[in-house]
Amino acid sequence: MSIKMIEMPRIGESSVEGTLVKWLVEPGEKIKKYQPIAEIMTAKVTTEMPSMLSGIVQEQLIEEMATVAVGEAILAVQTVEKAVEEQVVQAPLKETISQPNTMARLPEKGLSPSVRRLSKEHQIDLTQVTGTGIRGRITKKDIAQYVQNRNQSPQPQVTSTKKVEVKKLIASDTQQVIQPSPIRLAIAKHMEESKSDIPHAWMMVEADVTPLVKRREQLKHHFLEENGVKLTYFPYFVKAVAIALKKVPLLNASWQNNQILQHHEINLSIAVGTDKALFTPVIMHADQKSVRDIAVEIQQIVQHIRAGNLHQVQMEGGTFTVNNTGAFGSVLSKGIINAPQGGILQVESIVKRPVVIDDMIAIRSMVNLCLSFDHRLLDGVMAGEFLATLKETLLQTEA
Amino acid sequence: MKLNMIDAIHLGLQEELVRDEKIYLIGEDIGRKGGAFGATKGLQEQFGADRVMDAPLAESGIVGMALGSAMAGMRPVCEIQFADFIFPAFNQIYSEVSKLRYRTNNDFEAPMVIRAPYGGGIQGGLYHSQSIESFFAHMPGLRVVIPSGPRDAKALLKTAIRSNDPVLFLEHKKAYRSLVEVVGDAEECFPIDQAIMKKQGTDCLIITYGLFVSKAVKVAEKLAEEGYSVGVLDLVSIYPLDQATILDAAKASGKVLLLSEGNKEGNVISEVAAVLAEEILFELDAPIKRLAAPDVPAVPNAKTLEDAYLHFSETLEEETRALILF
Repeated sequence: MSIKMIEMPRIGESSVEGTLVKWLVEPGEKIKKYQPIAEIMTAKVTTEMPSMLSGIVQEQLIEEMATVAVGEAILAVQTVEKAVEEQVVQAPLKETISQPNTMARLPEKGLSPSVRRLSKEHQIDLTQVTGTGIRGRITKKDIAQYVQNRNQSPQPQVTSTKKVEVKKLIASDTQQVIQPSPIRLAIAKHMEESKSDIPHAWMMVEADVTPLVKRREQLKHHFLEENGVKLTYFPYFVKAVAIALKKVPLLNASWQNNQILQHHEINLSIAVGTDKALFTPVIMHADQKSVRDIAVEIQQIVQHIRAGNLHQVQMEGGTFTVNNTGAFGSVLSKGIINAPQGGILQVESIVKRPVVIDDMIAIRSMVNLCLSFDHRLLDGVMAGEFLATLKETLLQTEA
Repeated sequence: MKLNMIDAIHLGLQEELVRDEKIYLIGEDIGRKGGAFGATKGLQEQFGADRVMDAPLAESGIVGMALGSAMAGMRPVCEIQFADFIFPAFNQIYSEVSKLRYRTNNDFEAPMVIRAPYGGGIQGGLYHSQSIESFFAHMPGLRVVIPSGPRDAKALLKTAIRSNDPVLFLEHKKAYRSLVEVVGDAEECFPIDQAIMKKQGTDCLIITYGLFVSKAVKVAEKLAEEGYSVGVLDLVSIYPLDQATILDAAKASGKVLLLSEGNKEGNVISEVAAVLAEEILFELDAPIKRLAAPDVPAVPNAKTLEDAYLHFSETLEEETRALILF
């Protein structure tokens, strides 16, 4: 028998922390390997976490709604190693070869007794200390270094009183304080980072989509019968963006660490909102898919979102975002880029308007296409070329 | 003068035999043959059969006779041919030797040394490879001393012989010929109750004894090239422990790795770990790490199996690095 730890899993390629939404097992409960033990939420996705161990739940190490780093122990499980016990009966062997390093086990928050003592003695705010140990653990040496630096700095008192306190909002008769959901917090954090890190530039063109509207009108009944899915305009725009990106690849790139990461795949994130949250699932290889494929895929994604079982993997790998703002009646909007992507295109409402063609007035179906792009990556010239290409592609849609 | 450990011990015995006529040696094959490893080679010729005595194959008799003569004023140095053979004498050592001074209220004392080669890594098999120190590290009244090299071996052996209380002096047989260094003169005596700081270090401390001290120093030197400062403490006195030195040394980094060739559970290093946890918990910066042999009944004979048994010691470098990075 031994106590083993289950750690916060890495769900999705980029997740660094996760929120434990709900425990599905209680201390004292017997669990089997692969049995769901908790609901975990990482940036935008909630998923059930299977146990990697069989045994008896010893202790829940974090509370519900607590957010901890990936790799941190969350559940202590008492395991029974059957194979070993059977061996003991035959011969007094406990282990034949010494176990590999078990240093990875961390005490609560990784603070050793000496670090706890020293931080108290020297009145150190541990949030101010940079940990150099395993997984950022603060070591005894880090404390010594910190104390040394503090003693050398001219105003030692400033650092210790400089503590930044988070102001708690207070509810009143006329105001209520709402604790945002982890998803809302994740969106807020991502938006804040995207907007503050990326120098957004913005550009809008009007596109004539009359042939596209006619085409869709012709096809929609047949399409529904054949595919069981309503044909909307949006898949046409997704496809057109993929084609335009292929011709002007500079927008299908990321500005990262003062270098440009040029993506060869065209994977389009599409923004799908609900009343509570915004999801950005990805249509992989959109340039290689037909409008029909894209329409069906979007429908499946929307169903996943409604059922609450969109998988994190489905939201990864996007290289550019297309946002269907027209769906809620908008004719003009400025999108925030989905970092670390290079741009986002807002497809606004299609409206019939009188336009001048060859000095004649005609009724055409027009749409505003609003592009936000990372000005570090490219300038107005290429952004304009992208939009012109997109416009042309949409106009070329066969009626 | 540069000597290996067996020659250093030989010289130490020779010098002591010259110095004090009350000292005599007794053991199996130590006279005419000069000992299984040659520790007493030529000494019978030099000092006579009364002072370098061949004994029957009866360890209980060797120790019992030595004790009786010690009570009568002699200063015997017994040799147990292999530490694996010491157990017939266990009762004499535990029930008589270690308790003599206490139970006679200081009327009698036992100024005697029991030397025994221990340890594996030489394909000696089940009866010529064991580390038996833990069995004797639980007997107030008996000191257990283990030297880590030729110079210490000679200087500690002299102190042990000159002590008026019994000392179990364990020599790692693989160290006999593998370690060579300059040894001190006839009057160089090191204290047998003090641990020796072989190397100072601020990132981590390896505490060990016997043959592994030289291994730990090598690892420390290698890690020094990577910019890490690793300390090495030689316990020297396995029982009783030099707690003051151990605690002081451990405080420097708060990270301690303990290394022993004995089976892990119930090992003497576990006692060191307990002392650290009890006395300086709030100086520790990482879980105390023990590296010791697996809990199997004996060091096996086959090369492959013996290597597997001793594999833990090969992980010293990586385990030390892991502890530093913790």
